[in-house]
Formats: sequence, structure tokens, C-alpha cells
Amino acid sequence: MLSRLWILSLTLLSHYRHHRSQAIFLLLGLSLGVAMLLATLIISSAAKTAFSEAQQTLAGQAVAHLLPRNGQRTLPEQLYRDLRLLGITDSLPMVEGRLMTATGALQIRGTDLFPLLNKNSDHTARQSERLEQLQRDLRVSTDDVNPLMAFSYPPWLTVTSESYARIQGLNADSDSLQLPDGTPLPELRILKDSAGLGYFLLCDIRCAQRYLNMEQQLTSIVFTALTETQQALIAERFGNRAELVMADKNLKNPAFTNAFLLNLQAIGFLAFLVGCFIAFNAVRFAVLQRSHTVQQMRLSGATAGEISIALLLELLLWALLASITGLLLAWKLSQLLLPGIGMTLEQLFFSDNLLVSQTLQSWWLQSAGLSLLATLIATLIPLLQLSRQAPLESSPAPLELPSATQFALPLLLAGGLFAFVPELQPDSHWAGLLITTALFIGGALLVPGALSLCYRQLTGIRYLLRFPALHWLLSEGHRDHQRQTLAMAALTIALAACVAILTMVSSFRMAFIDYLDTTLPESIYLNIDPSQQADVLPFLDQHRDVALSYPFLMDNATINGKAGIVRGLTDDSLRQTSLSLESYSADSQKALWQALHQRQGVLVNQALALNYGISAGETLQVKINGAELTVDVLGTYFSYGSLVNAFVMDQQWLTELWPDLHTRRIGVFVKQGADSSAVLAQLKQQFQLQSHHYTLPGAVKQRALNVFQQTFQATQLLSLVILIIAAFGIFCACYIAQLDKLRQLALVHVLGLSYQRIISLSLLQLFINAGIASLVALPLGLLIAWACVHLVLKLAFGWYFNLNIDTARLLLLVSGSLLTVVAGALIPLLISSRRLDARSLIR
Amino acid sequence: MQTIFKTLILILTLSLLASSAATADTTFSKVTPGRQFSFPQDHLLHPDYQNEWWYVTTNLQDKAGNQYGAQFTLFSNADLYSGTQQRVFFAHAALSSKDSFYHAERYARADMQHAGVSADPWLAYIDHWRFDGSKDSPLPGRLRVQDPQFSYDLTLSDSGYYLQGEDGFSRKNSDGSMASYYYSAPFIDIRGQIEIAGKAIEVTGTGWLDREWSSQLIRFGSLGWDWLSLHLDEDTALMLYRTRIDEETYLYGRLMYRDGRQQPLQPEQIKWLAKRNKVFGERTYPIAWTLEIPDHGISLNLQPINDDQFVNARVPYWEGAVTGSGSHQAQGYLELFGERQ
Repeated sequence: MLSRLWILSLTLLSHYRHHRSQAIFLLLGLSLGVAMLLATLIISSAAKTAFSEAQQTLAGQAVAHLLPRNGQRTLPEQLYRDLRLLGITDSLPMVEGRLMTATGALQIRGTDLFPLLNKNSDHTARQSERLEQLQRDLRVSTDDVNPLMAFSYPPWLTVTSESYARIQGLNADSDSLQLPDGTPLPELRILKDSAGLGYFLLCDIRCAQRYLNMEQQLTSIVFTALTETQQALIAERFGNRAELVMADKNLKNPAFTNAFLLNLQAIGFLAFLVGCFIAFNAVRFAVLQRSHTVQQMRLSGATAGEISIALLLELLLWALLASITGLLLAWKLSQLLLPGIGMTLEQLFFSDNLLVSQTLQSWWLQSAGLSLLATLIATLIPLLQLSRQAPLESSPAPLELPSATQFALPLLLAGGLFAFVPELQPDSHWAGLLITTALFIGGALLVPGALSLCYRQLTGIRYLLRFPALHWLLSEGHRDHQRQTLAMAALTIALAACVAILTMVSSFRMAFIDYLDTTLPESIYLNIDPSQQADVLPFLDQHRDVALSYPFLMDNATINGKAGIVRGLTDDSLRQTSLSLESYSADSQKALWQALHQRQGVLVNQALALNYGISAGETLQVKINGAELTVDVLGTYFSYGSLVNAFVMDQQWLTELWPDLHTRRIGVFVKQGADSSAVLAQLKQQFQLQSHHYTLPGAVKQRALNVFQQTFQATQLLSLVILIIAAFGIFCACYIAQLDKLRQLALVHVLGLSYQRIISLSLLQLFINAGIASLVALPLGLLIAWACVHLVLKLAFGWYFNLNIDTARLLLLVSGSLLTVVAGALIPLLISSRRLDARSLIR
Repeated sequence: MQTIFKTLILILTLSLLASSAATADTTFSKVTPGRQFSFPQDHLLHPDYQNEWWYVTTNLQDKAGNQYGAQFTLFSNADLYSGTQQRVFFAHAALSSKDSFYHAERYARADMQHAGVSADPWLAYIDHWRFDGSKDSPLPGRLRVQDPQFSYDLTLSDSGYYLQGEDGFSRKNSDGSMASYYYSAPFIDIRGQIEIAGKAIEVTGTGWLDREWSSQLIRFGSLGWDWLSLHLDEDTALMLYRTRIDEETYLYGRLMYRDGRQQPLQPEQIKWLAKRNKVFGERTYPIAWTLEIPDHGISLNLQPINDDQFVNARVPYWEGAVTGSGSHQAQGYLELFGERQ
């Protein structure tokens, strides 16, 4: 029995000895699909690990930050000393900023490492262990000067992670770190990511103060432990100079990371499906070509069961091979992507945690499971059909695929219903993922029907009979489109994903620019002491080029018993433009502003509205400066992803409730056509303002946009990877189709059709197929983008934005995809065209 | 007394932390015989010297007669970096009872200014650990240490000061290549409060202050020492130490009396033998001893109040309160460090 099975298996597998390309495509399809999904899983795991192990980083998981109050940039260093002398010693002084070097801007963070050496009887601080590890990592040789001292004292050392060094193009060569004037920075040492450093240069506090020109100043104080008594003491002693921000208010990393990673996993899942399609395509042709062999086996006495077992062994072999290659590819891919994605998370969510993947071995099991799943999806149906082949004398059963359209329509219908009927949506971000998946798969399965319909219509046009070659192509295409159906479905998924991502990124960019424009409408921001404001504000009021100047009032408030923010809004149209209201006409907006300034209610931001499920007409219980109020909600304004629950009230009302509320921030609107730089120059001259006393919104916007550009690079990169995989699927499909049609094409060639015309006609056929796939993919991608923004984003992130369709870029994307597909198909066409001679007919 | 050993703890700790640059010989003043001590200035930091420390040990009792030990040491070490002197402070504190032992250590660099020694009033501090003295000297004073697991707040009486070694020049080996300036205040009366695991206890007892400074950083192959301070009775204090540096063992002893008299001891007068060992980490520590100084009628059996007074600091060692029975009802502190043949 076993020997029979062995012989059957070897015989079936020997097919791939003669058809190596099929084996390669099958393995590549499985491996790429597995690799992409596995890579996203590795990245997700790395992110989760990074957050859960954040306590082991040098600064530990901060439980609180002491920040400058009321718009001040820095804290006096004396405040840190006072804290330590009071016994609040689980704290680290921080000096952070961006340092312009000869090669660009670097994030620099300075701290004092000595307190991390503190230790007691049975509690060895994790930070202390990390510091010891850091010292070991820093030591280049045993003769090296002690690293802690070298780090802490001039000429100092700077250290950074491998990831940040890679992103910034840094190396340990000291020449690479220079200020723009050529002054060298301290020696740089690059540590492995496992050392726990983030996306910055870490240096001694004195070093950072010197290079950032902040002597005796700190940007924050980080607390790794803080009792309630200590919190009260800080509030009492330092409350007027600094603001204690507890971590639960501003650190919500894991939830947001999960949402971000969910998007990555969705992309990985799509790539997995595309990979399965490629493998399915390859194995289907292998099955077709082996049907005669199986019939002979049945004739020789092999049972269907024996053949099934032999094919099952083949399936397991493919799964094993795919798990090995898939894991290796996934590992490399994740190593390549981790720094960029980590950086993205850092810029999105202000997390310093580097993403460091676990060991390769820990992913074997997942790889094997995914490979088995992919192999089952891709090969089970064709192989089962093959095992059920009747003996040779029977007529071979046609290998028919189930009608894809039968599945497509219910999937699209279900996805659409869930998407457009809010009552049916489950309250989970997974609901969004399921809806988008249903739309993706439904849309892809629509492609075979669309191709079939198209060719049926084209071949019915009698006029085309005048062009025999073209008619042959269309007739052939009508019969042949099934060969390329799967590749086209894969292309549809990939292209739809790219369209969706492009649309979302483009929309988000527009929303972000809107956000910057609406939230930073002023010409100049001043950051000055309240005492100085008494002189500056009258000066601005009387200045002929100044349209408006106002103190920006904002502070903590309690909203329905929880922490939030209250903002004041002065009664003028310039300030009102800084709030973008949701769905109001111009007239109703005017009435709303009037109601706001008549103190009939407040405006709430999107975060508050979504978190509390509040809409206009309902009431809020708020507590401002100890005064408890019940206020009506007049409307909602866009908060562009802000996590903090906030509401806006009339500024005069706010100052009456909170007479001693002060601010350092003054907003200045310069009249249209006036020169804001001239106003600023006068202010600088008259009031001796230094650079830290003012901010120009233009510079802030530019910095924010730069961060934005980097933020979405990782997502766009992944979507392009899917497109490349899909193009590769086209390449596989064409290659196999050309092999399959070799005799037919050779016959056509012998009958007088030139190589060039055959290639051109084949390309035209492919172009028609890809065009139809694109026609399906375009609306599908837009639908998915809409679902992602209005469902996934809303459920996971708690906000949404309006979609902006960038037609030009979409057309460019589709054209580029078509060209890539055609380029991918050209190679197999050229290869097969060389074989088109009479000998092909004899073979 | 323990000073030299505290020096070595400091040296060893800083050899873990500090630069290997041997700047002491050229930059810092050397310790030589014949220096004239000058108080109260010598109670403060000596910036010309590389290493310095302030060291207090106390033997305490509560109303029920239970024994406790508390110790506090503030170390200072300087070195040169890019031609600038940089100083680091670090401190050890411990509190022991019959069945518990807690310790903690803190570090601070001088330029961050949350550790240091200042005058008028005299103060030695690191973060919130404070040793407040009087106007210009550490005694009378108040010692306060707080840690999550233990704390103490002790009032220290005044005491006479005693120069150790040869008028304060204290050699640690026979040729004096390793030496320090060293004085002690062994007759301090203590009262105050300790807190162990959240329980506050009123205590009284005796204390001992040591002061030492030096610049001799020694390159040694192997190093170890035993150090013992004892209050033999209300008016008599004894200090012994035995160093093991490379191949040499050096023994030093001194008797001090409350009326100001002092009596150096010769090595051959002292029989100081280990009787019981206990292993901590990879080392064996002799935590119980017999001490015979027949010329002065001293015959003692020394036992720790708690066997487990092992200070698992960055440089680990055993140090704890001991009691002696026999010719005297003595109490004091024992420190055991490093290599042992």
C-alpha cells in the first residue's frame, strides 16, 4: 500500500520536473501571500511587544509629565532640583528639540542618567538594568573609557538606535554629524534596536542644553512613579509654573496602534488572497496537464482514495516549502519595513518605542499554519477534482469553476448593506474590516462575469468579421479569458486597494491642510508673559496693519465627570473661521455663532461628540474653575483626530467664570495685503522679543506637512507591493497561458500571422482584460475608501473626514498599473514567440 | 575607622562608573604625613582631593530592648574630563533589625546640584536624604533618610573628634602608598525614630561618625578588608581594620576614650578570628568573630544582630550591626568586603 502511494506521489510530482515554471509560480504565489500576511503579523507583534515592554526603556513608561504651563517653552532646571529635594525622585529631566545639522534636522533628547543607578534592597529598578545594558552596549572595547562617564561629561557621546540611524542616514563616522557651520557634534554610537532607544539622538542633559541653546532649562520632567500625595504636592508647590499631565490623558498608544496595525493587517490579508490566486492559477494548469496521467493511474487500478492521499502529500509538501520560503521572505520584509512603520507610529502617536521583532524561530508555527491555509485555499479544489478523474476510457470531466458571479453579488450586497445601513453595523472596528473584505472579494469575483460579458458582446459584432485576426483574438479571448480570470481578479483587488489607499491618503492630506489652515489662521502667534501682554496688546490694537489680536484662552475642565478641555472664542468672524463646523449652511452657521455668544450653549468637538454619543440639542454637565454648569450643545466642529474631549464657549463668559485664567499665547491677524513680517519686526524691536517669543504659522504648517508625508510612506509602500505581486500574477498567468496555447499560436503563425502581430494581439487581449479589471477596481476602490474612512476610521480612531477624489492621480495610477501589467506580460509573450514554428506543431 | 574601607568601596564603585583615566597623581593633591587639620573647614568638601566621604553608623534600641542598626554614607569622587573637574556623589543607607534588613543607594552628579556638602548651616545631602549639622560642623546634627521600604530620622549629639593613624595620616598598607586623611567622632548619643515596613518605632542609642578623604587611587590585583567599630562601654571605643591588598595583609587598631585619650594598638596585640561564615552571592563572609586583646582586658564573642545584613549594592558587601559579649557588653558595626584568602 505504502509503496503504491509512494509511486503514485512520485509520478504526480514528476510533472513539475518537466514544468518547472508551474512549480516556481505555485511556490512563489504561496510564498508571497504567506510572506505579506506574516510580515504584517510580525510587525503587529513587534508593536504590541514594544508597548508592553515600554517599562524597560530608559525612561520607563512615564506615568506623568511635568510640562511648561500656558504656552511656555521650557521649565527652569531649578524646579527639577526642588522636586528631588522634596523626595519626588522617580523622575528624569528632559531636554528635547530638533537640531539642525549639516545633513538635516535630527531629534535630540538629553537627560541625566545618574539617577537611574539608584537601587534598593529588593527592588532593582528596570531602568537601572537598562542603564547597565546601555553601558555594556556602549562599551566598544575593554580599554574603553567608562561609557557612563564618557556619555555624561564633555566631550560627550551621543547614542541612537539602528533604526533611527538608518532612517536618518547616520553612521558612526564622526564626520557625518556636524552643525551647519561645521562644528562637530559629539561622537555618535549606534546601538542595536534591542537597547530600547527610540527615534532620537540620546545625549547627556548638558550636551542637549548646549546644542539646543537651553542652558539651565528643561522641556519636561518625566515621572516613572508618582503617588497621589506627590501629585498634590506638585500641584501645590509648582502648579503656577508647570502643568502635571498624567499619562492616561495623553498616552493612548496601544488603542491607536491597534487601529493602525489593523490597516496593515488588512493589506497583508489582501496580499495573502492575491498570492493564493497566483498559486491557484498555477496549480489549475498543473492539474489540467496531469489529468491524462491520473486517468492512466485509474486505469492501472489506483483508487480515487489513493490518488487523493498522494495529492494530499503533494499539498503538504507545497505547504512545507511555502512555510519556509514565506517565513524567510516575511522576515526580510518585516526587517525592511519595521523602521519606517515604527517611525510612522512615533509620528502619529508620539510613541518612542522602537519596533523590534522577536526571533525568527518564534514564527515557524504561524508560518506553517498560514502556508497550510494558503495551500488548501489554492490547491484543494483543483487537486480534489483531479483525484476524482475517471479512468481513461471515460470522457474527461470538464474542469469548471463555480460561477464566480454567484458569490460576487451576495458579497457585494452584504458589504453594501452593512456599509450603508448604519443600524446593521456592529460596534467594532472589525466590522469595518469585514465590510471592506466583503467588498474586495465580491468585487474581484465580479471580474470573470464582466470579462465573459464583454467578450460575448464583442464577438457578436459582425463588423469585426472584416478583421480576421482581430476576430480570432476576440473569439479566442472569449474562450480563453478563464485562463486569465484569476490573475485579473488579483489585479482588481490590488488596484482597488491602491485606489482606496491613494484616495484616503489624498483626502487625509486635504483634511490635514484644511485643519492646519483652520486651526492656524493667524498671521503671528506671540508667546509672552501676562505682564508684557499689558503693553503688547494695546500696541497691536492700535497698529494700522493688525486686523485682530486676542489672548488664546484654554485650560482643563471637567465634562460629564471626566477630564477635558475648554476653549474660549471671541465674538468675531476671524476667530470663528478657526472652527470648521459639521454640516451647517451659511445662515444656520450665523445663527449658531450668535447663539454661542449669547451664551445659549457650547460647541463640542468630534471626539467629545463621538465619545459621549452627543449631538446638537442635548446637554452637557461641565465644571469650569469649580463652577458646575449644565449647558446645551449647539453643534459639533471637526477636531481632525484630536483625542482630547473639548468644547468651545464664549470667551467673555469663560473669563467671567474664571477671572484668573491667564495665557501666554496671543494670536495676531494681520490685515489682508499687509506685511506680517513688518509687524513682527516692529514687535521685536519695541518689546525686545526673542525667537522663542513668537511663532509663524507657516513654519508650523510646513513642519506638520513634512511629518505627514513621512507618515503615510509605509502604507503606500505596502499597497505598491500588492500591485507588484498582482503584476507578477499576470506574468505567471500569461506565461502559463502561452505555454498552454503554444500549438495553437504556432498554427496561427504557420498560417501567416507574424510574431509581432501575435504579440500585439495578445497584448491587446491582455489590455482589454486589464482594462475591464480596472473599470471594476476603480469604483470598488473608491467604495472601499469611503467604507474605510466612514466606518473603520470612525470606529477605530473616533473621527472621519470628507473624501477627496484626486482624478488626475487616480488616472495616473490606473495607467501606470496597465503599463506595468503589459510590461509584465511582454516577457512571456516574447519567450513563447521564439518557439512559434512548425516544430511546435510536431511536438 | 571604616573610612579606608569606605574609600575602597568608593574606589571600587567608581571604578565601575568612572573613567580609567588615572588623573589623581597629576591633578589632585596627594595624601602625605604631617598635614595640619583645620576645623571647621575640614568638615566640608576638599575639592583638591579626589575622593571623600561622610559615614555614620548607629546602634539603636527601642523601649522593649530590641536591637537595630542604621548606617548612612555619602561618597564623593571627582575626575577630569576634557580638562574640567567633574564630581559625582553617591550614598548608601541601611536599616537592620533582628529579622529584617533594608538598604538603598542613590547617585547624583555635582553639577545637577541635587547632592553636595555646604556650610552655614552645615549640610550633606543627596536628593531628600539629608545630614543636617550645626552652623559649621556635622555635630550636633540630624540624619534623615527615606526610602519606600524604610526610613529613619535621628538626632545626633555632639562628640569629640579623634585623628586616626599618625595625626590623621591613615596608612592602609605598610609603605603608606595607599593612605587617607581620617578622623572620627565615636561618642555620639542618638535618639529619634525609625520606620520599618510602615511601622514607626522610637529609638535611642550610640553613633559613630567617620570622615576621610584621599586621592590615591590604587591599581590592585586583589583586595579585601574586615573592619570593626565597637563601643566597649559608655566611655571606650575600639576600631580595628585588616586590609588584604595584593599579597599584603595590614592590621590596624586604636582605642579611644571619651575624655580624649587614645591608644594605638600593635598588630601582635590583636587576636581577631572568624568563627562562623555565611555565603551571599558567590562569596563567603565571616559574620561571627572572637576578639582577644589581652593587654587591655578585651575578650569578646561578636555576633551580628541579623545574619543577613548583606548590602546587595552595585558593589556588594556585608555590613551590619553587631553585639559583643564577654569582657564587655559591646555593640558596634562590622564590615566585610572583597577577596579573602
